[in-house]
Amino acid sequence: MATQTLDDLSAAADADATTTTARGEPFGELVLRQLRRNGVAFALLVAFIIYAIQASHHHYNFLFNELLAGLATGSIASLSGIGLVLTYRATGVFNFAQGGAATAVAYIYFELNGRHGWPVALAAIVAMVLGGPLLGLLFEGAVFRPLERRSASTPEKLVANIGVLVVLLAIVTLRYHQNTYQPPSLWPSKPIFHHFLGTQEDLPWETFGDVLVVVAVGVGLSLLFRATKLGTQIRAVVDRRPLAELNAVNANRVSQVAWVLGCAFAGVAGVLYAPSRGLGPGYITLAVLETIGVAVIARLRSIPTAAIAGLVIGVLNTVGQGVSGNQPKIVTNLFVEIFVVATVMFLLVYKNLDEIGSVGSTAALVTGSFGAGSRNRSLPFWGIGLAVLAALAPTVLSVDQTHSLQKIIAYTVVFLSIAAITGFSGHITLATACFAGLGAYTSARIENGYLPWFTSWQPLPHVPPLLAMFIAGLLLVPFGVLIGYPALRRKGLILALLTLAVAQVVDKLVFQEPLFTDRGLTPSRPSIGGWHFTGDKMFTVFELAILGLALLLARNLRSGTLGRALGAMRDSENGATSVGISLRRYKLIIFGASAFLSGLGGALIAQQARAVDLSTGGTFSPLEGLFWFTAVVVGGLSYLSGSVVAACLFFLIDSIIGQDGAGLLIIGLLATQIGWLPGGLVGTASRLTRGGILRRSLSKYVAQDAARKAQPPPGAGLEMTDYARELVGAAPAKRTR
Amino acid sequence: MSTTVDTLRGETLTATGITKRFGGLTAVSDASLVAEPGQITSLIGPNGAGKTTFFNCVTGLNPPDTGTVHLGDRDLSGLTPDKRARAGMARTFQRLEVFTGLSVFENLQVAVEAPKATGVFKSLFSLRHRPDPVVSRRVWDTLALLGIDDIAGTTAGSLPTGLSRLVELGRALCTSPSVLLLDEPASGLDATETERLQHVLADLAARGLTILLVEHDVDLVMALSSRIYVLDFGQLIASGTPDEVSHSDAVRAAYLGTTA
Amino acid sequence: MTYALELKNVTAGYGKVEVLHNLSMAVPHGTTVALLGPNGAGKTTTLGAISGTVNVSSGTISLGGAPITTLPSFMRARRGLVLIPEGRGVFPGLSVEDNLEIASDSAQGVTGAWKRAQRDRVLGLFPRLGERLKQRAGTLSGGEQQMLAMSRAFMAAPKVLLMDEISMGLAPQVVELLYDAVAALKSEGTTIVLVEQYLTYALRLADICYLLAKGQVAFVGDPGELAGETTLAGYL
Repeated sequence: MATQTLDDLSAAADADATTTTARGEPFGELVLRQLRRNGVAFALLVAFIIYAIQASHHHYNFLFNELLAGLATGSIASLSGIGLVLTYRATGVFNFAQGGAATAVAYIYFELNGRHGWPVALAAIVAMVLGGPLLGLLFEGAVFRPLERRSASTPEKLVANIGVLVVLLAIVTLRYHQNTYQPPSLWPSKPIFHHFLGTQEDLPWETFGDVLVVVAVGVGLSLLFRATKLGTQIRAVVDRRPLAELNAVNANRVSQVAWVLGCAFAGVAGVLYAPSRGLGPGYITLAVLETIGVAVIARLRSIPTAAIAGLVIGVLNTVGQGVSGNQPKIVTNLFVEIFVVATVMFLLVYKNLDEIGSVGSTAALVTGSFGAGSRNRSLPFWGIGLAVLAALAPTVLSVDQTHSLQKIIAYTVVFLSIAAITGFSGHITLATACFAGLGAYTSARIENGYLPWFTSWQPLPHVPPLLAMFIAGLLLVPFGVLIGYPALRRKGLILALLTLAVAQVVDKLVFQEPLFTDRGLTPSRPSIGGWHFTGDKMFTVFELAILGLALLLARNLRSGTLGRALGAMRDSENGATSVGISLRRYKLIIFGASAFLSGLGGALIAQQARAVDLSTGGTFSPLEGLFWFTAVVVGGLSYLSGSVVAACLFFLIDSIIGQDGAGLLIIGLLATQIGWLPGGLVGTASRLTRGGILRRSLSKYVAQDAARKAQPPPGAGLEMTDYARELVGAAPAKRTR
Repeated sequence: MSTTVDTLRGETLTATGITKRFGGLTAVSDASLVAEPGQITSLIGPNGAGKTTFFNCVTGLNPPDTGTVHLGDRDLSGLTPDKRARAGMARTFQRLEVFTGLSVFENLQVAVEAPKATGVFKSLFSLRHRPDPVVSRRVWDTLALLGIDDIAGTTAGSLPTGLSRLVELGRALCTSPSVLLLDEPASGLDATETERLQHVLADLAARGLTILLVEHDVDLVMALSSRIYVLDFGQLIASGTPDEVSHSDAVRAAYLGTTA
Repeated sequence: MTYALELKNVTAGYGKVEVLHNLSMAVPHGTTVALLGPNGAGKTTTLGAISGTVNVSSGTISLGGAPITTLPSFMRARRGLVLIPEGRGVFPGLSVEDNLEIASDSAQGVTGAWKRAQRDRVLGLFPRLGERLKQRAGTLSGGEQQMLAMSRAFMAAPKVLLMDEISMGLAPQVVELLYDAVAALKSEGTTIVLVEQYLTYALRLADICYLLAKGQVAFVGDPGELAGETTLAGYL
C-alpha cells in the first residue's frame, strides 16, 4: 500500500541500489538506549509494582492478570500515541481528528459485522486494513494538502483538523443518532491457556489478543523504519522536514504516508476499543483523546518514548486500580483516570513541547481592524436589536421556535467567552464546555443548598437562582485565573492541549463522579420580586437581559482601552511588553473574565433545559467544547456577532433540516475550509461588503509599492552598472551631514 | 506637532558587564556601553555577533546572566520588559512586531494608554468608550511627525514593511521614552524611506532623546552616529567616532576573517 | 550561451516582505561564484530562491538552461541542485550513516559502485565521521556536524552546489579543512555558489564575485577588483 503511493520516491532511487546496509542501530542497542533514557520511568514502575505486591495482600495471580490487562490497555494507547507523534512530526498537524478516525473505523467494523452479517474476523480486518488508511488518504488529499500548499498558519491547520473530527462525528450522528451499541469481542471467550504457568489463573484471549495485534503493528512499523528506503525518508522528514526536501525527499508524499499510517493506527485502536468501551456518542473519541497524554509525554517527538509511556501508564492504570481498591475513592479515581491526569501533570511540568513551525498567534483566524468604525456604533446597535427581540419574540414565535431561540441565546453567552479569549486575546483554549458545565453545576448546587465541590452534604439554605448563577460565575473566576497562570508561559498548541486535558480531568473526576453529582442538580428559573421568569416567554426576556450583560462585557474586552491592550497582546506579545503592557495582568484578566462568562452561560443553558446534563458525551462533555470552539471560529472569532451566528448554526440547521448532526456537519465542513473564510462567516461577509472602501484607502500605498518595484533593474547582466559603481564607490561620502 | 516632541527628555543609558550564555555558547560576553542624551549611539558587528541578544538583554526580553542596566540613575536590572518600558525604555524590533489586527492609530493609542491602565472593573463595565482628547492629540502629533497620518485608519497588518517600521517607531515614541532602542529600523526600507528615517532620527536626537541604534546600513550609521560600538563573537572589540571605527584594524579583521 | 545557473529579474521574499528586487545573476559552468554583501542584503534569500525554499514572485531561474522556477525544492534537488544550508544541515535524529545514505539517494544517474567510492572518499577526507558512523548526528560536535553536512556535496553528485556560510561559528582549523574539501570539488569542475562572511576564504576560491546590497546586485567582477577599502565599506 505504502510503497504504491510512493512511485515518485522509488523512481528517485536508482535501479542498481547497493546491498541494503544496516540502517540505524541494531534492535538490541535500541532497547538498551531506550532503557538508559527512560531508566527513571522504569525504576519508578518497578518500585510501584513492588509496592503494589506489598500493599495489595493479593496473590501473584491477581497481579499477573492486572499486569496483562494493563499491558493491553497500554499497548492500544501506545499505538494511538505513536500515530499522533508520527503524524505530527511528518506533517506539523496535531491530529485531534485521530479520535474521529478511530470512531469511524470502529463503526465500519460494527456496520460490516452487525448490520451486514460479516464474520467478526473479516469485518475487523477489513475495517482496520482498509478503513483507516483510506480515511487518511482522504483527509490528506481533501484538507491538509491544500493547507500545506498555501503554507497555512498553525492555528488554521488546528481548526481544519478539529473540523475533520467534527465532520466525522457528525456523520456518525446522522447515521446512528444517539444510540449506543455493543459490538462483539474480537476474541474467543474461552481462555488461551488454562491454569497458566501452573497457577490458578486462566490466560484470557481478550487481553492477550489485543497485545498481540499491537505488537504485530509495532514490529511492522519498526521494520518499515529500519529496513526500507521509505523508512529512512520518513525518519528524515520527521527529523527535519525542510532539510529532507533539500535532500530530494518528496515531503508531501511522506506526509501522505504519515496520514495513512496515523489513521491506520487510530483505526486499529478504535476497533480494539470498541468491544470494551461500546459504541455511543463520543465514547471511542474520548478514549482516543485520552491517549494524547502518551504523545505529550514523548514531547510530540520520540516514537519509542511514546510506545513506552503508553505501556507504563496502562500498567499503572490497572494495577493502581486493583491495589487502591480499599483506599478513598478519590485515590482510586486518580488511577482510573491516570491517562488524563498524567497529561495535565506533564503539560504543567513541560514549559514547551517540541513544536513544529511558529507557535502561531491566532491572528490568522482574525481579520479586520477593531478600529474606530465599529467602536461607536456597536452598543446602540446591539441594544436596539435585543429590545426588539424581547418585544417580539414571545408574541410571534411558536413554542418550538421559542425553545430554539432560548438555546441560541444561552449558547451565545458561552460562545462570547470563546470569542473573548481566543479571538480578542489570542489564546486557543478548549476547556469552555468544562467551565460552562462547572457554572451550571455550581449554580444548581448553591441554589439547592449544597456546597459545590463537596459530597452530598446540604448545610446551606436555598439561594435564589439569579443570585446563585452570579455566585457560580464569580466562583469560576479564580478557577479561570488558575488556568491562566500556566498560560503566562504557554501559547498555541501546548495551551490548547493543556486546556483540553483539564476539561477531560474535570469531566472524569467531577462530572462523572456520583460523589459530587448525585443530587442537587435541578436548577430552577429565577424570579425577582413579583416577576417570575419561569414561563417560556418571560424566561426568554430574562435570557436576553443576561445576553445584554454578556455583550457589554465582551464588547469591553474587544474595544476600548482594555480591548486594545488585549488585541495588542494577541497580535504580538513582544510588541505589547515593549510599550509597557503587563502580559501577566492582562492574561489573568482575560482568563478570569472568560471563565465568568462561560459559567454564567452554562448556568443559563441548564436553566433553559431545566437540568444539568453532565453525562458522557452530553452537553458539557469536552467533545462538546471542541464543537463549540469550531462553531465560533466558523461564525467569526473576532466579532460579537460571530458568536450569535455560531449559535444559530448550532441549532437552526438541525431544526430546519430535521436531522441531528446536520448542523455539526456543516460547521465541520466550513472549518476544514476556514482558509477561504478569513474571519469566519461574519469576517468574510464584512470583507465582501466593505472591501471596496478599504481597498480604495490603501490603493495609494499599493501604487507606491508598485512604483518601487518598477525601478529599472540595476546590475542586470555581467557588467557593473553606473548605479552599482555609485553605490560601491561613492558610498561613504554620500550621506554625511 | 509639538506635544510629542517637546516632552522628549533623554536620559543616559548605561549597560555594564552584560553577559549572556545559551547553553555552552556565550552570545554576549562582558559588554558595556553608554548612550548619552541628544546623541545617536550605534552598535554594529558581523552576522551572529550578538547585537540583537545584547538588545534583548538591555530591554529585559531575554534577561542577561550578569550585568546591570541603568537609565539615568535608576537601576532597571532584573525588571520585566513592560516595567522597563514604563520606566522610559522604548524599542523597535528587527522582525516586525506591530499589532497586525489593530489600526495604525490604535497601535499608537495602546502605547500612550498602556502605562496608565485604569481599573479592571471600570473598563469591564464601562458603557461608553469616550476617546481621550489628550491621547488622540498625542497620537495624531506622532503620526504627523512621521508623515503617516494619512494611514491612521488602516489595519497595520496590511502595510508594507517600510510603513510598518514607521508604525513601530511611532508606537515607541508614544510611550514617552527617555531612550529609544532601534533594531535595524532601515531594513526593508527603500532609499526615500531611509532618507526620511534619517531626518526623523536626527531630529529626535537633536531634541534631546537618547537613541541606541543597531543597523546594517553603513551610510546611515556613519551619517548619524556620535559614537559607534563594534561587537564581534559577543565581545566589544572597538568603540569610537565613525572615523576611528572605520579605520580600526580590529574591525577590519572581524569583517574580513581573522586569517586575512 | 547557457549557464549552469541563471537568475533573471528575480523578485522574492518571505510573505509580504520582499527581499530581492529584480535580481539577475549568471553562473557559467564549472565556475565558483561568491555572493557577498552586508547582513540583510539578501544572500541567504538568493540561495533560498534558487533551491526553492523561498517564494519567487516574479522572474525566472534556470538550471543548465532549463527553467526550474516553479519546481518544488525536492524536484530541484533531483536535478542536481544541492544546498548546504546555514546552520547545521544534518538530520540530528539519524545516524551518521543514515545521513550519508539519504544524501546519496538524491544523486542522479550514478552507480552503486560510485556511491561506495564517494563514501570512502568522504570518510577519508573526514576520518572523524568514519569513527562515528553509528552515532546519531545530533550528538556530534559542531565541526563534525558541518563536516557531515559538507559530505552531502560529495554524496549527492551536485551539478550546482550552493553553500551558505559553512564557516559560521567554527574554529579556524575546521574551516580550513572544509574549504580544502570545497577546493577539491572545484578542481573537479563542480559549479559552486558560496555565501561566506569571511572574505579571505571567499576570495581565495571565487572566479566571480557578486556584491549584493538591499536585495539588488551592486557590483559584479573578479575578486581582484574587490580591494579592501570599497568592500569593507560595503560590508560594515
